[in-house]
Amino acid sequence: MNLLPERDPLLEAVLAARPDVEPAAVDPESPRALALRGRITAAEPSPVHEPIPALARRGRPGSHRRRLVVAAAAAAVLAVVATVSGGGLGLDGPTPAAASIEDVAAASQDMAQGSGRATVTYDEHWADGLAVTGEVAFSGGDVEMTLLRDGGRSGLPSQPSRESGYRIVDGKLYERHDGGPWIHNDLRDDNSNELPGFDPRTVLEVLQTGAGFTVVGDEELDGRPVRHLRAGHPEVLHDVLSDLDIGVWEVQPDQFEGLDVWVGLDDDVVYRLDFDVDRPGEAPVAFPIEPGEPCPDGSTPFGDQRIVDETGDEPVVQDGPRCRASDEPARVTGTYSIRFHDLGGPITVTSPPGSTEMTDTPG
Amino acid sequence: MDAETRYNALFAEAYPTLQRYARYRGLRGDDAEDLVAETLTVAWRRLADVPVDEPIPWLVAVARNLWRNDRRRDGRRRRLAVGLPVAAAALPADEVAGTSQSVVLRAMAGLSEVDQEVLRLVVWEGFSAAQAGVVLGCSAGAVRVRLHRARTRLAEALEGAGVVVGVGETCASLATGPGHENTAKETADEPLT
Repeated sequence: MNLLPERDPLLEAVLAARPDVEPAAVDPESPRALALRGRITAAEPSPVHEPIPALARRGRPGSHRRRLVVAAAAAAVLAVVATVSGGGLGLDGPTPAAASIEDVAAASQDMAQGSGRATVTYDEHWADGLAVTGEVAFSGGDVEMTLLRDGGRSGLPSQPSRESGYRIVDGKLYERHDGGPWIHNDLRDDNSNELPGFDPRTVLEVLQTGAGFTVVGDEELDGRPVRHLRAGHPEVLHDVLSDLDIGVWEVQPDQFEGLDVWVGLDDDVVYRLDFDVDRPGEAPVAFPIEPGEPCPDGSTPFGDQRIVDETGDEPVVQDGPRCRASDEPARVTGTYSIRFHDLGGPITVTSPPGSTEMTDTPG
Repeated sequence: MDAETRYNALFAEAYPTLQRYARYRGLRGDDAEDLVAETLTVAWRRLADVPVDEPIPWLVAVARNLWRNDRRRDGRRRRLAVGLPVAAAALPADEVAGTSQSVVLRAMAGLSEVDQEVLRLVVWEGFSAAQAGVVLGCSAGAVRVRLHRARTRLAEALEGAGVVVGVGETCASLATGPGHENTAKETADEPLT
């Protein structure tokens, strides 16, 4: 199936610009090609087992959990405008403001070109749980996000809250963690100065197929009449998140659940999106505890190391005991929600003063 | 069908695509030939694993991995010497600056590697979303996302260069070169408007 739309002058221009390759270079019957083929088959009398070249895996900076949080924030928004190509999805219901999900995508895309704010909440349940709230402000190509992570529902002192800040200003990425210095990070391959999946508006670039939205009903959201839609195929989130190159690779398509959006009846704009994750986690589950303190369940602490800082490229480990939360593999369930608000308001995202530029060049 | 017969057929089918892939990646001469040779050697050694129905995307994925692993090993030197821009590598010696082809190629060269690759696979090689996904290691849906983003960024890059490809433009008004069998050649070297 031809992926290209029927009439796209831009992509036709790309095709027209395709460089020529001399015919002799691509002729499999040329003397050079036949010589190559002969050398290959002669060197090995028959196919043998050789490892297939796989892309060498690079370590990714930042903790897995932090990137999952960032991913969740964007994923929540990313999924909102999954559309069906071709005929589109009819949205049933009385006097629909949006005739199809394509209308929602178009209206939300227009919104995203401007300014506004978004609030992201992420509630994960495993061990002692994790709750994250994020505030996002965007204005054109600039965006700012602050994430506050509360790692301890049980209130254990060894689970401090953590705050991370991200900004993209004039195409440059800035970030900092727990009140530390701002750094400008340009070490990301392929897309320098672009933090994929962090700007919740990226969802509005996605025109996915197969989400299968149907109408749940009309409701009120923050005083605004909205239509509540539910996706029949929330697994589309997996495709969207995969493309973001963020750390949710362990969430499989069938582990995304309950994708819902709320669309303004008067403007077809998405004002809220929720989805859930239900997946197995790591086992056994354990969490650090202060030396000398007992485990909450009365069990005996074990181990002599604990992770005290996961915000850098490598976790910082110190001596210290841990408590086992469960002998069984963890089941991780999470609810993600994002709400857009203050759309069109005056917002300016500025680059933080005194940031340190990180490069991979010496000197 | 014995292994060598099957391989010879696979070789004939894959050779042109792999040669083009290497050159679109900016490789020339021995570097391009080496990549093609390595890829086709893998195909011989792992013939049983080569998909019967659609072997080409699988082989391009191997070539891609070989190229990227080689680049990582060489580190900075390789990035500076080999990587893009495609425009600089692909422009013929007698290219007239400012022609539509060179404008588009230069705009493409300014995109990220991810954006360039999806455009090359889908537009230049005609891969479907599923086929491109095999090469890129992502789903067909993700390919559509990438194509949309690449297209948007390319449009912005061309606009920044003072070029707007409007709705209704026909291929005939775009500069073409020999070998573009799918494009009309009634008018050549007209600037994009």
